[in-house]
Amino acid sequence: MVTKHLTDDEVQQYAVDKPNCEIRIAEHVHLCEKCRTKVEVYQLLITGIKRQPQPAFDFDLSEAVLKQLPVPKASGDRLLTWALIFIGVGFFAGAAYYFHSYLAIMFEGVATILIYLIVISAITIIGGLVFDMYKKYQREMKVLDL
Amino acid sequence: MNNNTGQNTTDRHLVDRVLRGESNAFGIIIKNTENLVSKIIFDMIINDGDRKDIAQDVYLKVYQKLPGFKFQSKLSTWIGQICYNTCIDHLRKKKLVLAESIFETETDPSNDILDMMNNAQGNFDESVDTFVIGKNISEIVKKKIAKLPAIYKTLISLYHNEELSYDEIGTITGLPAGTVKSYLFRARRELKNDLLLHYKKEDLW
Repeated sequence: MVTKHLTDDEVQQYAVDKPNCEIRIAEHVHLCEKCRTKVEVYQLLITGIKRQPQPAFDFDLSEAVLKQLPVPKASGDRLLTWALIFIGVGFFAGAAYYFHSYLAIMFEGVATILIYLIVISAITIIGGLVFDMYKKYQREMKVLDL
Repeated sequence: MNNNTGQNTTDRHLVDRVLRGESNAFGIIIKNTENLVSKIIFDMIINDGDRKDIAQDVYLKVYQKLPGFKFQSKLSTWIGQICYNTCIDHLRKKKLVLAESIFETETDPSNDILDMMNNAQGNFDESVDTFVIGKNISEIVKKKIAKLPAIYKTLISLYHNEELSYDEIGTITGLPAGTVKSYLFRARRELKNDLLLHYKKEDLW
């Protein structure tokens, strides 16, 4: 048995979770009136906490949220998107195959340095656009983020 | 264990239905978790208008993030986490104090007061009973809880009213379980001291 009075934490342990409390604490509470009084104060407090009414909103939360949910996209929309992509890619692939001899001639007259310039510019612009899209995406995710 | 497994299966089933586009299933999720969400919001946010906006905002976020939910915790715990973080963001934006250091002064008047009570009335057990009968304890405690900082109010509610474990509260608040436990002890001690001071003023003297 503990001969010293219980600490406040030990008193709380007993008041909050009596079944899982250490035996020495339970024995002390049983024998010590002063500590038992402290336990009773905590038990009174916990009773008061447990009796607190459940807060509730004065509107139908479920209804309000469901109204704001985005309408799911119809599967037809997705199919159309893929069909357009397929047609687009097919068109450019077909054009490239059909006109490949002309394309080769087109670039013959252009200086190598100019080709590099065009390619570097294109990469820089595309890179900038991708970076900008990524930053925008991050900003939006930050707003939504946990 | 079985309850958890059963709950998990129900959660998975509901989430699958929502992801298939059944908004009614999301309505069920809202109904199942509304108590927890309202508890956190009412403890952390004072303004009624803000509470309504935040509650809706929480569930819109849940809906957007649902495809990424990996069932590493209970669905309700995950929603509680989103709710808690949304409240924290709101308080930060409004520059409101989250956890005032009211516990920095470790004064504990309880021993003195308990001694005085015992001396004054002989048997404190009787006086406690008198308090319960004479006063509506829940009303008194409600006023004392209202004075606590938001985070402590929330911890008290989650532990004593929602009966969540330290680990679950830790997941929701992002605090280690040990810190949750420690904060709870301090919050209860503060409430107890406040309660004793209240009785000292109103009932004994």
